[in-house]
Amino acid sequence: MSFFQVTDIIAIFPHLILVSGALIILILQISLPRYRTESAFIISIIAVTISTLISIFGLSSEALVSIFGQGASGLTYSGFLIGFDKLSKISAFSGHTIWNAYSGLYVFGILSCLLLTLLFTPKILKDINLNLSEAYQMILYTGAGLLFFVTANNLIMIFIGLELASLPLFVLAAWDRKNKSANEAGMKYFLLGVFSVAFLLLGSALLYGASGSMNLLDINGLIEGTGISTDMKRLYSAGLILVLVGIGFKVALFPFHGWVADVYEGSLTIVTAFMAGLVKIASVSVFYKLMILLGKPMGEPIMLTIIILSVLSMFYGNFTALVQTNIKRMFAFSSISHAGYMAALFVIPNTSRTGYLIHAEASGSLFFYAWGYALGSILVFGVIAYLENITKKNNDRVQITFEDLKGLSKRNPISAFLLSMGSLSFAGIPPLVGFYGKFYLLRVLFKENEIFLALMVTINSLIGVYYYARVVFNCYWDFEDEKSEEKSFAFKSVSAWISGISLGILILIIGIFSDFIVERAMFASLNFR
Amino acid sequence: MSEALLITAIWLPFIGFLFNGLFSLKKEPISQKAVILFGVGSVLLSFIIFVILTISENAIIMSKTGLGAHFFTWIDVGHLKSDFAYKLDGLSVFMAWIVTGIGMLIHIYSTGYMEEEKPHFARFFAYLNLFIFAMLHLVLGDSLPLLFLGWEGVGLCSYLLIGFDYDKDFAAEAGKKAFITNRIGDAGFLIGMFLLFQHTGTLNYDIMNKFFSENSLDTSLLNLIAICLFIGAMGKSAQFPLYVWLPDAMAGPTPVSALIHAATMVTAGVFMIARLAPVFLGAPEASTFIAFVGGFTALLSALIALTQTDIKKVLAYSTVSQLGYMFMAMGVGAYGAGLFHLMTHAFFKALLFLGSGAVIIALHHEQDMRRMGGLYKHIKLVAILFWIAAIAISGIPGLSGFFSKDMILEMAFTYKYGGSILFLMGFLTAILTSFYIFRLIFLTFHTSGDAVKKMKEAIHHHHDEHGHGHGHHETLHPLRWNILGPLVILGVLSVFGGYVGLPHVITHQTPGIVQYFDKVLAVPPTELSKSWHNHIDGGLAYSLMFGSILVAFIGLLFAWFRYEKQNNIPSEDSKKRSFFVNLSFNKFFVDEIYEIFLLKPIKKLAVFSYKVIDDKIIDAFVDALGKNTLKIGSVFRKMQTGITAHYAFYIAAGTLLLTVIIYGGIK
Amino acid sequence: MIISEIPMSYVLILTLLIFSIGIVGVLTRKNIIVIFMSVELMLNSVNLLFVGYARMWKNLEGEMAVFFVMAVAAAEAAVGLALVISIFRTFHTVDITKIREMKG
Repeated sequence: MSFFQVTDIIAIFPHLILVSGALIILILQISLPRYRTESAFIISIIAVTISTLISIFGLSSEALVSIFGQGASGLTYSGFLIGFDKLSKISAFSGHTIWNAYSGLYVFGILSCLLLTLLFTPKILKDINLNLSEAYQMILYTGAGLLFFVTANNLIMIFIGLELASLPLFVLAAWDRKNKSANEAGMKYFLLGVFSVAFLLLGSALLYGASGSMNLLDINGLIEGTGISTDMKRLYSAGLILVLVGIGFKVALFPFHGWVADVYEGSLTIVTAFMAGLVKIASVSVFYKLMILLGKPMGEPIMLTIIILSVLSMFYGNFTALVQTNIKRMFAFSSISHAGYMAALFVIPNTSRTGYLIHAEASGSLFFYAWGYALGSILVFGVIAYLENITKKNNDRVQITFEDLKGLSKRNPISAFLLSMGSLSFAGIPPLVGFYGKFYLLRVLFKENEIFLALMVTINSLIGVYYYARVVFNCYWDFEDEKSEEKSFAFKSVSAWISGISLGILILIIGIFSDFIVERAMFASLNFR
Repeated sequence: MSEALLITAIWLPFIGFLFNGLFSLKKEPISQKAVILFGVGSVLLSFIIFVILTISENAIIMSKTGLGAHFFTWIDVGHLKSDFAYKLDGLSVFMAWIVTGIGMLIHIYSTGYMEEEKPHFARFFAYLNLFIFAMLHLVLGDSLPLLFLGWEGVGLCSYLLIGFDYDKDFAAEAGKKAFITNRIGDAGFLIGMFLLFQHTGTLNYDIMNKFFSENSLDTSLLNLIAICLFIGAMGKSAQFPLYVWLPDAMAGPTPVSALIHAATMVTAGVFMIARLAPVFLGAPEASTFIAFVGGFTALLSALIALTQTDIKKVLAYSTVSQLGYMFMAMGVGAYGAGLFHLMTHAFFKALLFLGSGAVIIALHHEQDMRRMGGLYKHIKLVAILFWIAAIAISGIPGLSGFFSKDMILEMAFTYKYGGSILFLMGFLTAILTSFYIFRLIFLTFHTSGDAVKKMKEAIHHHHDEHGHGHGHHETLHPLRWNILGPLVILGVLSVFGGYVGLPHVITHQTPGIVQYFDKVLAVPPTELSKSWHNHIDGGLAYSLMFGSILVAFIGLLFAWFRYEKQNNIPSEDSKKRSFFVNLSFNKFFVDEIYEIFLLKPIKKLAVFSYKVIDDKIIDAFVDALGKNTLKIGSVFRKMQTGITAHYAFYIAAGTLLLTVIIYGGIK
Repeated sequence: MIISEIPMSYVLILTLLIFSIGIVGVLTRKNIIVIFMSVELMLNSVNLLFVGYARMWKNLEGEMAVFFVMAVAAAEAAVGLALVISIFRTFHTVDITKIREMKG
């Protein structure tokens, strides 16, 4: 009996590629005397691209055999475009990590976002004047951590994945170390992060105590089978709530939202894109998975709590975003409200009246919404990062306010266009992806007769339009005559151009293919186990 | 193969539109030859393809479902499925011939008529091509949404072409009037369409016909749907009370009036009724209503046409009047007769319009008949063709108009509900028609006046007043083959077009054209459709026929007496006119009545809504809402203290609260 | 009393007590390092619970979890202390209430 099985490696193949990318950077950095730090970017791009391609197209059994030898025969690694219909599942590390269609879906979501974010980084990180290699290692570890997070099938794996993603992010948040607010952001993120993780751990321990296992599928089997004994039920409920608090913190739900605005504002904006895009899509997935697998014994009360969290998040995020002047803070609060919209779908696993299919439909809509939101955030924060880069004074970052946006369409038309597009997508204006996200979300809510939540989502979308439209308005209309500023280009790096343009195109056209994507996501979600 | 040909034929004009449209954007006008090649060539080719298809695929086209061609999927939402799919059956092939055939003739004519409009030449042909494209969608689409797309498309082209001289205020106004009036009708049409979808579950003709052959809807519901759809037809086909835009639409270039506002677009309503025969034939009350609206429109506009002095206005009211005839026919269920009249009318009215265009262009854009006269000497061919068209429209036997009009009157006479009243209206209109059309001919081509002299005087006058002119127009503008050719072809058609529908009393069998439509239309056996075969024979039929011949000659004689014999040229001074002439001359003040009773109250309501409801109530409410929302925001943001411990407190407190909720709920 | 006779509820209550002390520490202390120590206290109290439950269920999953938690806590400490140093360089204080450049 060998220590590792081939299945273990295959199940975490993309994760391993990211980690090995980081290790290669580390080794090259210390072993090559004339190593140029810029090559770290190339290596990480290669690693992320390979794993993204794998997550899209999968690996056929022939390919797996040629890589891993005969041990891998009979296995396939299904990608988003190919092979999801096989509903395959690879259980690894004695069930600690499970790759199935549902987690594969989010592996694809995370990796695609990671690639697009990574393309934005070069110029920004270079200007910070710190060791680039380490920054890219942090980024790759974050990505790998998130992948472990979504493929976890064990409470302790969830914890480890989360920490593996968070610890490098704490560092990255404070990467701009001469900047006061970056330090403050890193500090706040770190303290609140470990604080909330303690809750998650306590919850895990209680769940373990109530069920005797930390394996999600085992617990699920226990629930479906004999059920949780009545004397353990309270313990179980408290445990699940505490776990959900820990993950709700990462999703940025009210009242675990405290960090969001300050950290988003203070961090290097490109890191904010990581937090808003990647971390959210990953934690939303795990939240939903926990609701599906473990939520059943909690019945009505958990539904009530979810509704409270969701509605409060929407209102708090939106109302507070209304009065912001700093554009990053505005998007931070809007991120809280989007967390609220997504949380509305978390009630479905427990209320399902129309049977099993609705889980898949809700989950498919959730993926589409989260992915669309992540793409929008990456675009918006990426553009803001470069705007900051252009306007910086005394080699120090300055925050972009609504005042600064005035006349942007004249000075920097591409930035103005992309920023407005991201904003309008968040606001849910057709034909951008945000509109379709809301459409599918509301469709599920209506199908499940969750009229109250649907109404709340609609009202809040209306409120949201005000501040999103303000971005567009400031960019395009509300300014005095040109302040004789010379024109500047949006991005100063080729890769940022690639990312910016492709994000713009994606946000514009994904809506057209929304049916296809949601269908794939639904199909994937038929297989949680 | 034939599917591909059909799609090609429909999309060819679109290529012409793209070419001409793109090049019309250029500052330097491109060569007229290129424009003609694409603009006229595409329509010509399209016509040829339809001819080929009709010959080669005759059996399929004449079958119930016709030749279908699926281009691409357009809408697929829930139960609503609508594609860009076409259906070439007996009815649509008939329309396609008229649209592309007459369209082609008018395209050719336009190359002569628009010759001098160098900077706008390409734009004009772009619009015309787009019109043909939209019209083909209207008649060839296999579902109502596609018909509606074409319906709106031709409306757009009509608007663009009426306002072709957009720098002239009256043209721009007329375009707007046409567009807005049509919107009123479209609202009705849409409601009808929605109702139809709601109750039949489909908008596709074939499926709908199948539905109606197997099920039947409540008659009152069908009446409602039919009325709603007819409101749409009222707008597009200029029926009372929505006809007011058509006379004003004469602001567009004359070929446009001939193509869009006489031969094709305005007949869309008639086509639509024939297309939705199962709906309209199942709605007897609505049909009677349609017949009476048609009859009334025919009479009213014929009365107005009596005294108009603008040559195109006379023809415009005449068009409205003839459309009224068609709706009368459709209303009494005589679809064959209505469509027959549609065809003959397309021939002779296009001829009249193009002929008037030739007169106008010969006189260097003079449209007032009071400044014409004696033109027979100068442009004999045009005058002869005009006479042919006039004889055709007035119903003198032997030419096309006689057969179709007579058939309509005959069918109206046998109609059960108020048939005699309808017949009387049609009969009176026939007298008036004959009078106004010969009045037009005498005033233009005969009488002692001399148009050429008048033209010179007018120009000199103009010259003296302003000290400059657009060059001296001492002689008539020459008319070349591209203007005269289409006229001759239309003249031939006007003469012989009627022989497809020889009346029953002569041949003792159902008229050929009626047989044709009987075969190709989807007709459920209802009371109305049974009446198709009612024919009157013997003495009554002959007396009806002779009656209408008689009135045609009475109109002719009266016009001759008044304008040729007495040389009574209409006065420009309103005081010299009698009360009734004034009433007719001012179009029964319909526009003014609309202004006072509709537009003014609506404007007042709009001002009220704006100043009071919007400003004082809605705005104030929204402002308050906005301000208070911002206030809530400022309160919420106070939670964001910046102190980490506070944030940690929110987490801890929130967790505690949630746990309490859960513990309260768990049993 | 021998160890095997200690009821599970005792362990749970002890854990929750220590955990609450940790929470109170986070909420009330001003020094970042002390706050961080309080968080460590919370984590370690959970370790206690894990061990207790592992004994109750007689499987090793809980004990295994403890090792992971301890390893992660060590990593956290490294990152945390680095951040504290960086904070001290820019703010010249480790008082959490004074570190509030951003708010509202």
